[in-house]
Amino acid sequence: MYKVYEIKQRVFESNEKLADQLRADLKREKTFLLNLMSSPGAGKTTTLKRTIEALKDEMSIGVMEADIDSDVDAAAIEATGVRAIQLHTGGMCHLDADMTRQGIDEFNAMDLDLVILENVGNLVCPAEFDTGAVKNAMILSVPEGDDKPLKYPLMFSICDVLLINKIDVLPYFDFDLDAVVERAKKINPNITVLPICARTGEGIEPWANWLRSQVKSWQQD
Amino acid sequence: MHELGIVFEIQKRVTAVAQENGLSLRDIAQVVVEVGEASTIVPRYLKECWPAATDGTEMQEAELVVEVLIAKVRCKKCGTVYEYLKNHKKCPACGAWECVMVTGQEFNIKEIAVFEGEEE
Repeated sequence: MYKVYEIKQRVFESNEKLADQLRADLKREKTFLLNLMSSPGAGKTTTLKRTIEALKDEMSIGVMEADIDSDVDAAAIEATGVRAIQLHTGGMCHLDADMTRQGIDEFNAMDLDLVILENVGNLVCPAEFDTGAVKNAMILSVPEGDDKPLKYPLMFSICDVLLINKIDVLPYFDFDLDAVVERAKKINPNITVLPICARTGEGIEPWANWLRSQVKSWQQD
Repeated sequence: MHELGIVFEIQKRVTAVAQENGLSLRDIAQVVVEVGEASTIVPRYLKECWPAATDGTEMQEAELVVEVLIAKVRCKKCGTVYEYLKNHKKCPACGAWECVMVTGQEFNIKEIAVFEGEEE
């Protein structure tokens, strides 16, 4: 015989609660956490190095590198002179709020102004799990193609800012920048789209400005 | 394999719910989840990942049952409520594409069935 218990709860409820709690703690400590997502090879680490260069003189920055295994990214970031920590997800394809919290605690990250979480390279799973970050950003690189908003709508719907990287190779690809902007805005009308080239540094300043103003308003009100 | 991560999340959630209700994980026969058609979760993959996540745990006897909820939307132009996928996303009354999701993005644990009685 069975006895049936009515539950009617969202599966992601525990993760969402942990994420909200983490955001509240970050707010109190005036620490801005950015969740940076992209496919493998879109240029997350290079973009991060440029971002750090642009901002490290005016705020304290830390980077949490999420990776299934290895610490190549953390080593590259540490070379820029900011604090970096490597989080291993133990084979999982994303970070959840609990893993992010452990990273923040282990890292003593609450005394920093800006913490950037470099999520696992993947456009599917990280979109499903709230990490507790204040804002979500994603990088789409030109060689990946302009159809990605159509293929991964959830990722585009949860991001506050979309960086389009590797614009220096635009002439060599059938990549329609206007079409990407239109497709992304259709899914998420509030998304900010910024074209950049992390290799040359083009477009990094408007991106650094966006981050600057986000960190400032998070620390103020 | 985005469903594997999600299955672990279901497992965590069920463990918490079982604790709240004073249930032993070993007694759970069935976990019923509701998945909206427009939720990006594929029921078949979910079911295939379930044994991988529960094998060797106290929950290994539990079966996962997935109920799919039809995606329905309301047309922004004429207000008609229609089945989103069946109508290929387009309003059957006025032909507009703009709409608001009414149902279909759910991802809930609906109920848990627990063995009871004689064998105990």
